Amino acid sequence: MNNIKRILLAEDNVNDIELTLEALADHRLANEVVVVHDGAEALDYLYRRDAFKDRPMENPVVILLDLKMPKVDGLEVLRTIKSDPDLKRIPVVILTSSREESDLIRSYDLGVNAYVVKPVAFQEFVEAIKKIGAFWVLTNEPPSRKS
Amino acid sequence: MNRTPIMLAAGKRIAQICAILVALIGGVAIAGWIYGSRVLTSLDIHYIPMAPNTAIFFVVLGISTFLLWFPTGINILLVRFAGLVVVLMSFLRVCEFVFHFNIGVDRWIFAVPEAFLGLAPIGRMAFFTAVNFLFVGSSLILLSFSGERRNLNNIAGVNTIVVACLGAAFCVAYFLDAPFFYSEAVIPMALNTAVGFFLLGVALFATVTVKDFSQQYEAEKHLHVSLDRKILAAFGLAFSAILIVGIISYNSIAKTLESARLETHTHEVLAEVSALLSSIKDMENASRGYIITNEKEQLVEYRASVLEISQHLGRIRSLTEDNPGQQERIRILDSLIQRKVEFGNKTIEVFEAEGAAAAERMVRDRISAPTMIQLHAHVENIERAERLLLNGRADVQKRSSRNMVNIFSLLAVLVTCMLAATYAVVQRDLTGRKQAEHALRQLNEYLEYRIQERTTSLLQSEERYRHLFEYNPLPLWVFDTKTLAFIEVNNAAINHYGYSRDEFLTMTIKDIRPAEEIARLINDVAQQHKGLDSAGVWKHRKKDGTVIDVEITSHEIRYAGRDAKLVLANDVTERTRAEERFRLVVEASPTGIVMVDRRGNIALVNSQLEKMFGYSRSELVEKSIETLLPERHRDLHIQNRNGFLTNPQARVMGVGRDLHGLRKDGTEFPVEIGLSPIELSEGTMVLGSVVDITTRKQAEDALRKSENRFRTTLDCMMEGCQIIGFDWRYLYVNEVAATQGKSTKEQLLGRTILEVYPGIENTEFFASLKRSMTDRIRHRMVNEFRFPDGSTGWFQLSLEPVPEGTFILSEDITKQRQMDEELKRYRERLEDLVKERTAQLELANKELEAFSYSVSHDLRSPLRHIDGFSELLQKTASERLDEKGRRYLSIISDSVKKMGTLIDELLVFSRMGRTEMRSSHVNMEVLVKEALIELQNEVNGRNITWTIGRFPEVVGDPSMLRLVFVNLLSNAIKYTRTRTQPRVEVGHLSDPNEHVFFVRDNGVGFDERYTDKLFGVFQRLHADTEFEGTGIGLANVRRIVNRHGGRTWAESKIDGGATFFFSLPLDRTVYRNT
Repeated sequence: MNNIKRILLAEDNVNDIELTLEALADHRLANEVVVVHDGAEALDYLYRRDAFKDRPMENPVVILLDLKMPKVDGLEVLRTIKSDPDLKRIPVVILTSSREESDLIRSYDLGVNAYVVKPVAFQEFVEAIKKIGAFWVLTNEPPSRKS
Repeated sequence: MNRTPIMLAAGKRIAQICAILVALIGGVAIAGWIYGSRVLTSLDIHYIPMAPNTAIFFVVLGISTFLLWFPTGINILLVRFAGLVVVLMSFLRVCEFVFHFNIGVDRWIFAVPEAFLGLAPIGRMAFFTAVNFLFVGSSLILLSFSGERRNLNNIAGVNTIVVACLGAAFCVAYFLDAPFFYSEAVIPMALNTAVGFFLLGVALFATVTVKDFSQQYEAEKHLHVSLDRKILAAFGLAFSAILIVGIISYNSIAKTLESARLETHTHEVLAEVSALLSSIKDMENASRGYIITNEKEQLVEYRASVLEISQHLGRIRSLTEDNPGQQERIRILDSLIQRKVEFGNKTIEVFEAEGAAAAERMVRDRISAPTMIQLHAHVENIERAERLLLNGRADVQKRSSRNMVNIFSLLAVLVTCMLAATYAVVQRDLTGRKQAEHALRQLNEYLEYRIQERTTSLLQSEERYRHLFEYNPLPLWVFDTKTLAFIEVNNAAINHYGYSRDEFLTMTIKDIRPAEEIARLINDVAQQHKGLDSAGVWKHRKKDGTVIDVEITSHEIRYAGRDAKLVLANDVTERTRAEERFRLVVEASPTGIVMVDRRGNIALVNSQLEKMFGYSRSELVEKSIETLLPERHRDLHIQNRNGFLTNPQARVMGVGRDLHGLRKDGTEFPVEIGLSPIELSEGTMVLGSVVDITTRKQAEDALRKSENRFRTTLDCMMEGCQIIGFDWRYLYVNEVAATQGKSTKEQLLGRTILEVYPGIENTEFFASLKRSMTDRIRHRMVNEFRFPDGSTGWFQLSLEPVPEGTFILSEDITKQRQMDEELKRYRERLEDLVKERTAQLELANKELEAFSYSVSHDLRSPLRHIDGFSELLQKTASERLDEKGRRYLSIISDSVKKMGTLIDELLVFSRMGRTEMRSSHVNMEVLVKEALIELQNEVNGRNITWTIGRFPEVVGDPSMLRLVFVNLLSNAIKYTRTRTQPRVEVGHLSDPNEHVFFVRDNGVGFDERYTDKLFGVFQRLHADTEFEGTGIGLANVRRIVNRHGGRTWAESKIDGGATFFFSLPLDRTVYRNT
């Protein structure tokens, strides 16, 4: 089994993907990031469907989820994850430009683990991504796999 | 003849004489002691004398006994004192004997005269003398208390018997010459003492007996010796006998012991004498042996024998010390032995000096030495004397034993006789008592039988009377006139008053009176009516509290040994009440009542009639009834009256005419009179009831007037008024009502509504009218009425029940209704319009929301990318770029950041317009403080002078209102930046219409011409380089204040500071939610 702690990044915007990976790379976490470009792909990955049929058994250690995505939006993905007994324990961090109150409330109602607004300033953005990576990958202790 | 008084007198005499004799005996003895005469002290010089204090006691006791007969206070005191002294001293003396000590109690009083010296014992009181004195002394004390306690007397009596008996016993002993009796081991009792005790005992016994009996005799005029007294006497005698026997036994045992001791003593003397004789022989033998043999051992033996002789002699001398005859003989013997010893000694001296021949010569010659034979004879003399003594003592012993047996026998016989006598006496007494009891029992039985007989007959007669009492139909009772307690009550009383018999018997007659009657009752009882008494009518109270009137008749009697009264109570409550009721009915009747006899004279009037006519009762009675009539009616009245009497029937007088009464003061007044004939024992009477109808007449007039007034009022009213009778007939209609009904008054009045409006019975109006007729409750309704011609009209109706039927107040509201309906239609259209507009607005809002969402999300992303990549570019290509290129990159970065801020604030602004307001009571002071805390960063340590006023509480959305203050204060902080002494004031202006708040600063200010622009979005009055900003803050303030229903405005001068105002409405609780 592959024991690398993997991050699942669901983001449609390639620029954002690049900036995010750049930020994570600063923390040497970029090579452990799986990138999917919409909600459907994210769910395929999680359920090991289609393109991700053969992905390693290990679930990602955290999911960074954009809200506004084609096909299936972030909130829908969040709802699916949090209502699935096998997935619900995966920490999900919403990473979005939206500061809308309604988005915040709905996300928390669905059981999101953290909600981060992407700062416009790149330096701040880099800081935010680094903190997220550091916290969820290195600091946070997930429950043991089998339980 | 009754001999008792004589016997009592004799007893008294004996007692007194004996007492005097005792005192004399004592006196003689004292004289003997004083003058040294032994005869006086002991009667016979062979007998021992009376002890001196014994003599004194006798004098004292004799006098005391005598004094007992004259029991004055002092005498009794003296007697008690003497008794006490005697008891104490004799007790001490007894103690001396018992506990073997000697304090010489008996010698304290008298010293022993010389004539008595040598006599042993010298004037000591004997043991039994002391015991006797103890008895006598205690008897005296007891007797001094006698008369108070009979049992004391009894003890004293026994004591005296003992004393007399002992005295007698000692005397007898003297006469029988039995000294073992009167003398004991130590000190014997003197003869005269014994006589004294006997006499004293007799005197005291006589005193006790005579005193006791004379008391009894005085009380009962009869004398008998009670059984207990006899037993006591027997007890006394028996006790004495035992005591005497005791004394004899004690003495004889003491004597026997003494004799035994003396005998031993005699034997010792005899033994000693024979030992002496053998020693003398030994001595003679030894001296002779020495001379013959010249052996030294013989000389030693000789000396030892001499020593033995002197020892034996000494012992004999001491043993016979008490015998003068023997002493004399021993003295002679002694001298003989001396001579013998001297001879022996001389012989030995001669032998040693001159030799054996000289000594032998001496022995042969026996010069002046007594022979052994002489010595023998003398010793025998002594022996003989001693034996004689022994024999004599044995004789005495024998005699005394014989005497003792004699006396024992005598005493046994005496005691037996005494017991027999006692038994006989007691038996006789008991038999007599039994006989008396038997007789008494028989008598009792007879008496009981007689009593039974009498009781039965009494019971029979009592039963008859008891029946009369018990079953009397009227309440009867007997009470004690002293205590007022019920002694007896009969059944009728119990039934009538409700108390049980037992309850009655614990009560007094006061208890059945009401409280207010008790004083009268006590007064009445105190008057002591003799014999039969009709006490009149009283108020009594039953157990249940009801008060009744009773007519009381009573009779004084003796009942069960008490002064009592038999009382008969007749309940007259009903009678008096009926009378009272009748009187009250007549008196209290609101109509005047007058009773007139056949002749037309007034027999009775009531108070109402008096008042009506102004006459008093006495002025009217026996006057003609016509007095009360006006002059003009009198003749007619007399005719009518006679007519009435021929056909007496109850009727109303003067039908169809106005009747008038005439008052005493001459005025007339309208009356109504009812007549009814009544049959009384004194003939037919006419009872007239007169009613003054003045007020009724006046009321009728007033009513008529008021009716007219109301009718006029109704006629003139703006509303339709009509009254419908119970038969649906129009009773009243005013003009308005007729017009409303499209009819006329004439067409309506008298007809029924069913006739006028056929089909009305099916309308809602008719149903209400019907309800009003039956339930008599006011109904209100708005009703559309359909007229017969097909037209309709709306009416507001009020149905009011009135005595005649139902009053209907009607108002034509047809026009008003038409207007209302038009208005309603208009309003509905307006609402539709509003709804339409709202929908449009909501749609616009939605669009705006979508727009702002996309702004927030989609506009920010590219910005971020620009910034991100320019940053990356700077990082990766910075070395390759020149200064200019790097500056461009920095400008890109700054612009992007500013764009980000603009987008954020725009989003806030748009949200302000969209988010829902949450109204609550807001404390503005707290809000201002929170805003200031939020702005700490912007203050950035500058020294701004804050003036913050007091604020009222308002209603609004607290977070929005806080934003207002944040924006205004932020501006104030920003635009005072150039000031050295920046001041900011936050305040509130009182205004009757609204709350006005303001924020004033001394900053750069602005040109008032552009005030309108200030509150617009992105509108700025300063260059960004001068004061940075987005131009959205004040737009937000206006938007929030507007949403709260308030206004915003500002005042300023360039460089003169600025004041920003906003207002909030007063008591605003509900905001539009757009």
